[in-house]
Amino acid sequence: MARSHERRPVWVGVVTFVALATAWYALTTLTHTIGSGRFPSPAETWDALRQITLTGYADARLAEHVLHSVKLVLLGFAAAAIVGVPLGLAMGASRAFEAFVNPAFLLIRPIPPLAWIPLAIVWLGLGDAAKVLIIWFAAFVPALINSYSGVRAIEPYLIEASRMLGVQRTMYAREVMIPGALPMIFTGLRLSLQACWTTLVAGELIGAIAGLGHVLYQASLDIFPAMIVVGMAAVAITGAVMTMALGWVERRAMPWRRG
Amino acid sequence: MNRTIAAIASAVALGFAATGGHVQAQPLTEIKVSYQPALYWALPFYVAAEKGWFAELGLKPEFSTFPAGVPQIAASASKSWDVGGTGSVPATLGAVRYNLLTIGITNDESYGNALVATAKTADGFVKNPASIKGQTIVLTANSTGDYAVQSCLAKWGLKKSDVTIKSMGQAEIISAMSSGNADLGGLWAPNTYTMEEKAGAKQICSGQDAGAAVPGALIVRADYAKEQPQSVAKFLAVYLRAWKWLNAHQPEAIAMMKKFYEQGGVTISEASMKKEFATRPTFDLAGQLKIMNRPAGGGSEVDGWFTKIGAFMQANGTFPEAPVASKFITDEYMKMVDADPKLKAFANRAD
Repeated sequence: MARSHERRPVWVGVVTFVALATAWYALTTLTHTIGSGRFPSPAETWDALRQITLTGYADARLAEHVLHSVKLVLLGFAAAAIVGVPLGLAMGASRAFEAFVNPAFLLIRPIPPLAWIPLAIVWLGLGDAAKVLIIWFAAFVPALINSYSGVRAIEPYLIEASRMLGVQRTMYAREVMIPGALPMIFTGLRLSLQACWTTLVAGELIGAIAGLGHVLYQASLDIFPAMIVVGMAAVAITGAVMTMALGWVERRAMPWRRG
Repeated sequence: MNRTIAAIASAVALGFAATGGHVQAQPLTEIKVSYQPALYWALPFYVAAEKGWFAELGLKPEFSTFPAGVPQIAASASKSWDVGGTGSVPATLGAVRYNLLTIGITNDESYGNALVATAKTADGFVKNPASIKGQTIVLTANSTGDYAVQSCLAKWGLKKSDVTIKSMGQAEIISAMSSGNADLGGLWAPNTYTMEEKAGAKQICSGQDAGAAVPGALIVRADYAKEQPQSVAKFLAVYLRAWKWLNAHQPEAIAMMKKFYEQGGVTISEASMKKEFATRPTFDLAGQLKIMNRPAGGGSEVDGWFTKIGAFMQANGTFPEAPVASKFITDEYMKMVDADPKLKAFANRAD
């Protein structure tokens, strides 16, 4: 009985997917209710997928575009995590440090990542560094905020208990603060990873030679709906795989939450 | 943002001027005209509106401006405009995607689409074009600028794969070259002049130098052309008369061009404006009919230009098969102007 309950969401998902695919085929191919200029048919999408996979599009094949985007996302994500998480933990742990950093953070936070593009070009040129900077700006904020919130959400009795037991600062950070904040840190990292992908197109507006954002940009210039759908699907699948990988790391990092 | 506001203001001003600024006695037929601001080939729209020539033929133009050809073409799907002017690459794209027809040529912009190099590198590249191999070129992919640049590379015996091409908008190209982040860029006029005047850059090869004809296109939605053929012919007559006038009254034309460009956020010197007139041939009614004429069993000169552009776009992966030029280029409406004595006389007036 319990097993059938566990399986239901998978079946629901499959049914949803099949229903959507059927509606797509019916509206674009069987009845032509939606013209190919507005949304591509499954056959057109398949042709676009074959084109980008076999002969290439926007100066590279799909695999090269995916690898290039994954590289940029990983670099931007890593940079955001390396800077955002420690800074958030420090702000959460120290009111003085928070008072020192917060005004600058509050100023930078509302600036949309796209607004940094002209400065990114001037500072770092047209290479990958400028694109990583744009992605970093988008990913850094959720990593920091959630790490900060994670520390602030630690139960006061745990803090009191460690103080009472005379736990050293390093041990407190290692045994109480970081494990206590870890669920929120990972929530922040998930949001950061999502932000990396949503900012990828903006990042790859800076003279990209490959990448899924570059594919989407070029397909929009070519008014090529089928290729846009292929690009979007590639972003969705690659993003989902990376989110699953992060979920795996999360489970390994917090074994006490299993089950 | 300033360019957008300026474009909206100019479109509103054009609409007001087009009606002569007063209520017309006879009802006018509305026609939605699209173009890109601050471009040479769009100047006739401004002049014709200022002079009230649309109203003289019973048309009431409603102008809409677009920052580039692609959004302009995409807007045709929602019938946001009926007729307009655009580049040859977007016109070809529009023919494939939305069944747009090319009904005339705005100008020959082969010289105005070019590979531009920064001041410090230009002479070296001119002396030794082979040294361009391995360089990065910033350009707007799949545009007339891209077409001119690739034709230049082919002229020097270089392939696309011999260089690194980075795609970006024209404003970003100017920014990248001015800040020293790129030495070579694919630009079109008046951006070429902006780079020359503001950053000392030099045009090292144009489409004309590379033997690539880069025309601008007058376009119409096929369904509109079928419903309102007379309005399309009148639109062409107005456009042709504006060029006649511009070419016959250059000092006044330069003054209007300055105003038109400034409304679109572009400031270039008078010398560069004169260069626009000197290097970009336009076609009167007889010229249009000549270049669009298809001899028995053959294609027209315009067919030949667009066939090459279609092949370039196919090579870029834009579509699997290049469109047949004779399927989307038609001289039917130019012939309508020619066949109507009133319209013909109007189109050939230079006053």
